[in-house]
Amino acid sequence: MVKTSATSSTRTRTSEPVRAFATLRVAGDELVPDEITKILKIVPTAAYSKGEHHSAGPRSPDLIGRTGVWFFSTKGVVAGAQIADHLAFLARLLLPGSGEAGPLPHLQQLLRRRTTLRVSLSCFWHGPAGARKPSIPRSVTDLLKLIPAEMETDFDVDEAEDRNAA
Amino acid sequence: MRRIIWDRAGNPTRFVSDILRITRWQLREALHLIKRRENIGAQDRIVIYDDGTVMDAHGEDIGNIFNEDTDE
Repeated sequence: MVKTSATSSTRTRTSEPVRAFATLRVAGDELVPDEITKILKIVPTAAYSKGEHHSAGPRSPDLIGRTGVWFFSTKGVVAGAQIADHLAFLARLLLPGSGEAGPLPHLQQLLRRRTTLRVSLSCFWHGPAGARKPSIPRSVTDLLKLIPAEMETDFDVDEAEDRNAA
Repeated sequence: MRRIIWDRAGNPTRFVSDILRITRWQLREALHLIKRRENIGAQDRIVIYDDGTVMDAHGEDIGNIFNEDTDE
């Protein structure tokens, strides 16, 4: 959980590291979360069907799914702040390599059967002020076309320090 | 009584994270996870209250910044 600073709201921001993770989401009214779990063979970070009650955490009321969502985040699963490593992990879920077809054909089949389902990948990246934002590997954009899936990037840097600050 | 500290699209500024007494990356991480879980776009408009509550553009409670796991 997010912890607040008990002593001060001002921090040394210059030493803050780069943060990165990626997520895979399948959403839609016809979503049956267990089907995605069985296809991808991984436990989701969160998943619920349309109309299902789900928890957003101890400080929030129970929510009712407006649509179905199956969502997996690499945060805390993949080490490091290279967005390419996080995306590679998600890509391997679908295309494990070593000659096997993997879960991708099964997911594509499901998407053809349940036309309201949408797949999307997201990339989160936060860097220090002035840092160069990462780029998305070509292999990932090719995979997105193959699924098919959308990509959402959420890249930003720290705001520059106030020059007049002490 | 809680008050609104952010009510627009895009990434909240350091002003918002300072009020919540967290770093900006913690705020952004938490919001990204909340939006993904609730099937909302990363740049969609949300409302943040000074107790960490996050509401979508329709005024529905979709989570709380302090629920999310963004430990340093």
